[in-house]
Amino acid sequence: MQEFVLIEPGSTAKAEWTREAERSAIRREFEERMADSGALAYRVACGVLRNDADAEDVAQEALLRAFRKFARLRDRTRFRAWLVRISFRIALDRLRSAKRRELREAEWMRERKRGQAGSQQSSNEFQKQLESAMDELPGKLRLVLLLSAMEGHTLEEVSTLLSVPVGTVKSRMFFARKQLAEKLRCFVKPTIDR
Amino acid sequence: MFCEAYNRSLMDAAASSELSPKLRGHLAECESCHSAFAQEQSLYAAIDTGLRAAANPEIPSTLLPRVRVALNNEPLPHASFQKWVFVSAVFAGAFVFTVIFELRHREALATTVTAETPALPSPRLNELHPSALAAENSIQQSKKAEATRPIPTGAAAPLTAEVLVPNEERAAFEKFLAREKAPSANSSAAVLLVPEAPKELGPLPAVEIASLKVLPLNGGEDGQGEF
Repeated sequence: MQEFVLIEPGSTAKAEWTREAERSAIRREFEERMADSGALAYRVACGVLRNDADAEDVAQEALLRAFRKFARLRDRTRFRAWLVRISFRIALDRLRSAKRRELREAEWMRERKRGQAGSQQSSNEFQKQLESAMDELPGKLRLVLLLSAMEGHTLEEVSTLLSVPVGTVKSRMFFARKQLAEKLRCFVKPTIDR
Repeated sequence: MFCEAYNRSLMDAAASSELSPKLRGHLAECESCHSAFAQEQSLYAAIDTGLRAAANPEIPSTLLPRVRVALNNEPLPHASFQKWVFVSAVFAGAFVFTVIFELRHREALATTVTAETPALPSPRLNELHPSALAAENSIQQSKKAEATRPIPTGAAAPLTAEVLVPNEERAAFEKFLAREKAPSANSSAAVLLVPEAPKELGPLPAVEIASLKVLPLNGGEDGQGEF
C-alpha cells in the first residue's frame, strides 16, 4: 500500500518571508525614531562626558541597545525618554573610570582652546568652571539641567522624558541652579563689571 | 548686598526666576537690593548661556551612518530573545541533571557498609632488615584484624543484648535473669565475661645494620662535590 504525504511547498518560504517582513518593519520604525532622537542621545552623552569621540561611541551603543530591545518596548511613543535614560546610564558608566576621565578632560581642553581661539579669556574660564561645577552635581540634578538646556525643552517635556512629575523637575532645576551659582559667583563678577 | 529681611527670598527668586509682587515692590524701593538682584540675575543668565553651549554640541555627521552599518550586523531582536530562552532552558536542564546525579551519588554512598582500609604503600619494604620487616608485618596484621571486624548495622544487629558483668556478680545476675525472664520472644540477654585488656605489643627488636660503607662525594677527595 502506498502512503501519500501532503506537503505545502511554499510554507517554509512563507514563514521566512513573514519573519523578514516583520524585521524590516521593526528596522524601518526604529530608523525613523533614531533619526528623530539620535541627536538627543548624543547630546546627553556629550553633556556627561564632554568629549565628542566618547559621546559618539556612547550614543551608538545606546542606539544599538535600544534596537536590540525595541521589539519589547510596549509604548513606542516613550522611545525618546527610554533612549535618554539608556544613553545617560552608559555615559555615567564610562565616566566612572578615573584614568580615562583625566585623559578626556585634557583632550577636551585642547579642543576648546583650538575651537575658541578668538573668544575672550574670561568666557573660557567661566565655561571651564561651569563644566567642572556640573561634574560635581548629583546625576539626577545634572540630567535635569542638561535636558532643560538641550533643544529648548520645556519643563513639561523634561518631566515626560524623565517620567517624573513637573514639580520634581522644577525643584531639581532650582537646587541645581543654586548649587551652580554658589560655585560660580566669584567667577562671574569680573565679567559683569566689565 | 540684599537687605537682611529679603536676602533668602530674593536669592531664591533669582534662582527660580519667579518674583512675587511683594518682592517686586521692595526691589522698586531698595536701590541696594535692586543692584544685587540684577547681579544675581546676570549670574544665572551666564549659567544658562554656558549650559546651552555645553548641552547643544554639533551632531557629528558620521553618527547615524555608523549606527546604520552596525544595525545591519545586529540579529533580529525577536530571534535574540528566543536565543536567550534556549540558553536559559539548557542551563536549567543541566542544573536539574547535576542535582539529581548528586542526590543519587549520595544515596549510593550512604548504603555502602563495607569499611575497607587501603593497603599502605610500602615501596621500600624489600629494603628493610628482616627484624624490622617482622615488626611491620605484626603491626599490619593487627590493623587488618581491626579493619575486617564486622560493623553491626541496623539490619544485621543481633536481637540478643550483650551485658558485660564482672566475675563476682555473675551468679547474682544469672539469678536475676532467671527471675525476671520476660515472656517476650524478641528480647533475651546472654551473660558474658568482661574481656581482658588487650595485650600490648611487645618491644620491637633493635634494627641491625649489616655493613656500613662510607663513600666520598663526586669530585674526588678535595671535598668539593658537584651540586
